Amino acid sequence: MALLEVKNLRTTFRTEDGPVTAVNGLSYTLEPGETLGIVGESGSGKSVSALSIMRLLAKNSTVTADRMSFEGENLPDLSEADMRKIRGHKIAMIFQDPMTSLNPVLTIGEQIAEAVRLHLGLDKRESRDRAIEMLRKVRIPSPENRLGDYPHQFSGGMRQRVMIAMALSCNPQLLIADEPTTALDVTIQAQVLELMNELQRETGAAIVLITHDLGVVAEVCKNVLVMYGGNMVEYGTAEQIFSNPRMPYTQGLLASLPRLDDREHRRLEPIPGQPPNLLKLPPGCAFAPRCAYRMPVCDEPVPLYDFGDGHVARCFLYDERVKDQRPIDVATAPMVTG
Amino acid sequence: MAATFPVPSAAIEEDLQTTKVTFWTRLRRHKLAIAGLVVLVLMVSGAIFAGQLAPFDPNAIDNVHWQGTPLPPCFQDASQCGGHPLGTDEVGRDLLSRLLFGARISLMVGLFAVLMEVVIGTTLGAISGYYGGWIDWAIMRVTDVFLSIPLLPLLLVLTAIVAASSSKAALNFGVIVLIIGALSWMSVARLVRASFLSLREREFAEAARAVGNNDGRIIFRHLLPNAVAPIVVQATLDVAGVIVLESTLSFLGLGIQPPTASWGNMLSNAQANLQTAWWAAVFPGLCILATVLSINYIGDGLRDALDPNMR
Repeated sequence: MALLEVKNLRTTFRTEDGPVTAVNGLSYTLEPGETLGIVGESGSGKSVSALSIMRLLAKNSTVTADRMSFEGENLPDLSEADMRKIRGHKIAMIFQDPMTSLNPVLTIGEQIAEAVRLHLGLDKRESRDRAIEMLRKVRIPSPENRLGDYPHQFSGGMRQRVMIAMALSCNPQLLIADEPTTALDVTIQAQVLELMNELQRETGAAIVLITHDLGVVAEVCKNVLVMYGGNMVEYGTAEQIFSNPRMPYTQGLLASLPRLDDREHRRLEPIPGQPPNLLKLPPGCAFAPRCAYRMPVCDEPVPLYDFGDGHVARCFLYDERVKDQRPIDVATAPMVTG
Repeated sequence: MAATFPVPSAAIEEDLQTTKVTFWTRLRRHKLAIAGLVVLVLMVSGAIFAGQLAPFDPNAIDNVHWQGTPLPPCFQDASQCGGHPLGTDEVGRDLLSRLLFGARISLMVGLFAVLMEVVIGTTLGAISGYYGGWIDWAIMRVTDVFLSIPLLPLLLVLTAIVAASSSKAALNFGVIVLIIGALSWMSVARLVRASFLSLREREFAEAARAVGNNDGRIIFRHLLPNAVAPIVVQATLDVAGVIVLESTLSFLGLGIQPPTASWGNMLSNAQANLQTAWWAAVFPGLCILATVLSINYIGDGLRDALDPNMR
């Protein structure tokens, strides 16, 4: 059974300018122990989709989904009290900026012990021991002495490791990491990612890694989900996505990155145009206005196309029916049914 | 990029440790706060040990020396003072003894009324700021109503009602505290609400939710400690304000009732003889001034010392 199954997730925010659609029909499944990278630019709905699952969004949001199940339980059906038992226990979260996501007036010992006390019912001493154990796991030197320290006494990389210690303290089945390395130096990024990988091997937790950094994805993720305009545009293994991207947006993302194996010193190619206006998403492909291969059919809702071995993309280029309208010649792929 | 990088060595961590400064070291740097603390400790011990320190019964009239006019302090006229170090008031009661016992009343009124206003104000302000929406609207409108009533006339009306319904003697310590506390929580409520409006949007509030905390724990354990600094500052200012307010009430005859001494009613009783007996007004006035000033400096020092972001 899939650990997490999201089907047709739709999240809108009521604003003064009208409803803003942040997530628009997202579906995916996650197996236990899997690492899934969700990539996309700012406003593509990566974080909002995660917060929708956790039911942590502000009151001006509306979340609907055909199904959003975790370990077989449909999350929208749970009471708020049951949801609280899942948060931090079965599903834990790491936030982007370790500078601001730790409480400045509580010691890190208190903050790590809190989740353990809330969910595992440990007493003061046991939770303290657990906090020390977790700090040791994330390689904070002399953890016994650092329990009473406040967040400002730690460096950025150490704080993010403290966040990881907090998140993993209750042995969650799923860890949602929302841009966990964006605020860190590159060398510290590598440490933190390595640590996450290592702890995942140890605990068997599944990880959803939200990022806009394809380098991070390449390093740690088995599968990659590319988001644009609130929906998935391509999904596959990291290998498939990096070596054989199908959706023009994914291709554009990769073309805008420098590559180590590139001998010709080509110029980086930015994607022209602006991200879509979430107040009025186009009825068809959200990327169409910026797409070099745009066809008339792109204004219609786009189905997914199957490229085999789980690799799918949402793009009419591969549709058998519009074969003769295409600006470039690519092999067609069958539509995903169901 | 897949290589394992070594984590920072223990030596680097040691350096970080040296920046750890305790609360006391930080408070000690604040010279005025320490001076204030010393003065306040003196005042408080005077109040606590009033029974042992007072040379006379605070309510007893010195029938031997008193001739209808206040006796002067001994340092001014040793032959006339009749053994009263700071002289007597207009009815011949020992001023020093009354100051010591009056400190009990004044400091306790200040402490408990502020405690009450902080509890009411913090709870209402925190709920208001955290939940927002119609809850915020309702609480803030109530606050506006309370704020728009002039405090002093309302206090007078309330104390007059209490006095009329039983007797003036019913205006004891507890009643005064209740009335002042119930009418002075608004500034704290607004302050806490303002803090919570920004605190609830902070990422650590979201992180606290993501860990599975309920609203009560988020409000009181995670957010409230972040709002302590402004509350402490406001509360210390208000202790001073309440002491002055109690004096005002006493001055108008509706505070702590004689013969019980409070600094305020001592001050008000002294006004009739201000030209001839300066000491009966100046000493209680100095006590109020010194206490209020000390508390304010302590408030400043605490604010600097409590904030872990300031190093």
